[in-house]
Amino acid sequence: MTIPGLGILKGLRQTARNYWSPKVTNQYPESRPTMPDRWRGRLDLIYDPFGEHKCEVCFQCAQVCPVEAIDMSGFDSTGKRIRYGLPEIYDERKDPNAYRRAGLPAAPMRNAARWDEEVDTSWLHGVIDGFGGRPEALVAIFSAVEERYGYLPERALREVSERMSIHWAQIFGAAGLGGFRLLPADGHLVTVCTCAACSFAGGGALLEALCADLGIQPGETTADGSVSLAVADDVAAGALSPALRIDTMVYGPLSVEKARHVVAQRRKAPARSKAAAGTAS
Amino acid sequence: MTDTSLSPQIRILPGGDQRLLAGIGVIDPTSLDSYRKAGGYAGLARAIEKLGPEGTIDEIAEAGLRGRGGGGYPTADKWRAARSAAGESKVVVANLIGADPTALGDRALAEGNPHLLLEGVLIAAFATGASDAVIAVRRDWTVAIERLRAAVAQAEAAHLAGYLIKGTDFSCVVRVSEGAAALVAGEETALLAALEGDRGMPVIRPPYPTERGLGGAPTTVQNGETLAHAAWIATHGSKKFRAIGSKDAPGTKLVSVYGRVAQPGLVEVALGTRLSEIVAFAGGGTGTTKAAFVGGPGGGAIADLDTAYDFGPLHDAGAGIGLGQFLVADTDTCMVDSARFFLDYSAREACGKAVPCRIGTKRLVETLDRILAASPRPNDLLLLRELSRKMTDTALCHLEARAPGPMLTTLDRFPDEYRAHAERGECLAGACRTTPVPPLISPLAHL
Repeated sequence: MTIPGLGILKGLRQTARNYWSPKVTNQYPESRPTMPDRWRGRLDLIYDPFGEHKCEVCFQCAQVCPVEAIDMSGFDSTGKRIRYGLPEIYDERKDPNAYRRAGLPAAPMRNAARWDEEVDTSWLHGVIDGFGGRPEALVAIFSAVEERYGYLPERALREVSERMSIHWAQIFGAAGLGGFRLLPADGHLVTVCTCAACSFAGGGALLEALCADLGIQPGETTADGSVSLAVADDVAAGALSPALRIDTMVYGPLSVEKARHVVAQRRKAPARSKAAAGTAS
Repeated sequence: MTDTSLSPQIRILPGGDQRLLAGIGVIDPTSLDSYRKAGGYAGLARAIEKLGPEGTIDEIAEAGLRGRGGGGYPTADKWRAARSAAGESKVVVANLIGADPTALGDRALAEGNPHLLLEGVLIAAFATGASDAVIAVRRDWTVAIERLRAAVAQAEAAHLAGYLIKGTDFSCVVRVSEGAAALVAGEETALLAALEGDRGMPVIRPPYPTERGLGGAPTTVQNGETLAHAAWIATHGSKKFRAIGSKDAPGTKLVSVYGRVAQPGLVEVALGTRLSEIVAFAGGGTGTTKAAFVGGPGGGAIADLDTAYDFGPLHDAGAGIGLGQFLVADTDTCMVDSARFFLDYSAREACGKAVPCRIGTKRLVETLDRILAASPRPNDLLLLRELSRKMTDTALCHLEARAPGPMLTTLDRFPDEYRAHAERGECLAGACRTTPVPPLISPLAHL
């Protein structure tokens, strides 16, 4: 049986209790309330002074949410629109950065040509076993793979993951942070050093000249496939600055003319075929 | 005939106070006998036979050795913490990742005198009670890796490493391991993560590695140069070590000088040397020297070249000792562009774990780009400071905390260059290609 108005009376009883109870003012900075350890304060300042959203769609909150209740949409730091939903549905979520932001094992490199290339990995077992399967040898194993193919093919990394019983995400994460090439480069790989020593000794002019000469930007290959241009800061030129590396040889110190000459010379020599290295025994 | 030369990148400058560098070029890096003839492994013998573990730590404490990896933490304190930490097995990790490839000190030592490094590792292992040691070397330093591996094998054959060293019950198995080639890989917790097969990203400290490190064991992570100094102290004694250097930080430091100098290269100087003297060791500046960026991407610009090259004074000046990077800038160098370079480097090398670092460095670069393009927002200069402060406050690792350093110090010392770029689109150094901003014409001017 329900009595009309009983609910509201119950509610008002609480109101009345609060109304007559003694009032307390907390002297805030002097006496502070005890908060849970992981309390990080209230979120505030959604917009910056220019009216732009402060949220970077970084997915950090989604990543730590224990019940996976957070999803978001918006524009990321590159101005790319990110939508609600699953990575499988929306293209922009297949972007490497989107995967990395969401803390997912980044498979997006598959979109790139040759990333998923078939390679012969039978030799890898010997190398891995030679290191005793110790996880600290990962970087050494990656180095061996890179030396053989010129980059880290996904098939080889999968093989490492399987053979060493390490999660694929962990393998890919480790490979992404060691300065390894994840994509193949055609022809001779010309790497211009961008370390502080080289940059301040005129490395920028070197890069500009080579870009203009070859007609490509770093990360691209010339139309005839003879030279790929890249930048790295680990040519470690030191006393050789400004320097560049062609395949594995370091040249320096170079003036712009000398750099042009060296690249032109090496361009004539036949490049090691990456595909051949991959399929040989 | 084995090749004993160093990589062509490393040029050792004459002059300075050569201690660690003294043996390079004299001692055959591929021969144990050559190193022993020059008095090698006497320090290890002295530590084991005379000093004992506690005595060795006391000797290092008396010498006042501080970590040469940038932090300047007293080495003896670290060793004592590792020694007293609970744990059945302990580990020593030698950090030869060379986080910033322009710092050549560790590479020169590993290539030119690998046994000195190994002796330092063994002494650290003996003092801290470690039975395992890992020498983590940047993977593209192939010569260094090869020579260190050979040195370990030779030492094991001569019962100087491995099991039952010198007939005592002290054993230490030394392994040489390749490490990633990345800035963040040199951070100690990131290095340990990488050695465990993880992506090399820093973790929150405490617990410090000396409590719980590699595989949960108490771990002493020490920069290669520090270990070489420790070997030198064990050999020559703490009194001799204190003979040069400053009061707070005795001894020497390997400094890689580059930028606008006649002879870029590696020089060993006593701590407390004036910055101008270091420039002079490199053959002087090629132009009028304006400032020196000390400490690489985590350091800062110092305009007063009378500043002492020492932990304290550099820290007070907003810079740091870093790994010994020393970039000389002359009047033709744009300080705004230089600051952008270092920030961009930090942004590219960010591991991505801490949000303030990953996004903060990007925002700082974008803000500097706006200033360089002469189209800043009204309070961009304030934004730079505000953002830097937040990055430092919320930092996960020291790389992040110190990343804004080059920008903050140039902003403090060369505000005119920032203002000229922001307001008039003019580069005071004449280095940047800029488009001058046309003077603002009021739409009501014709009235």
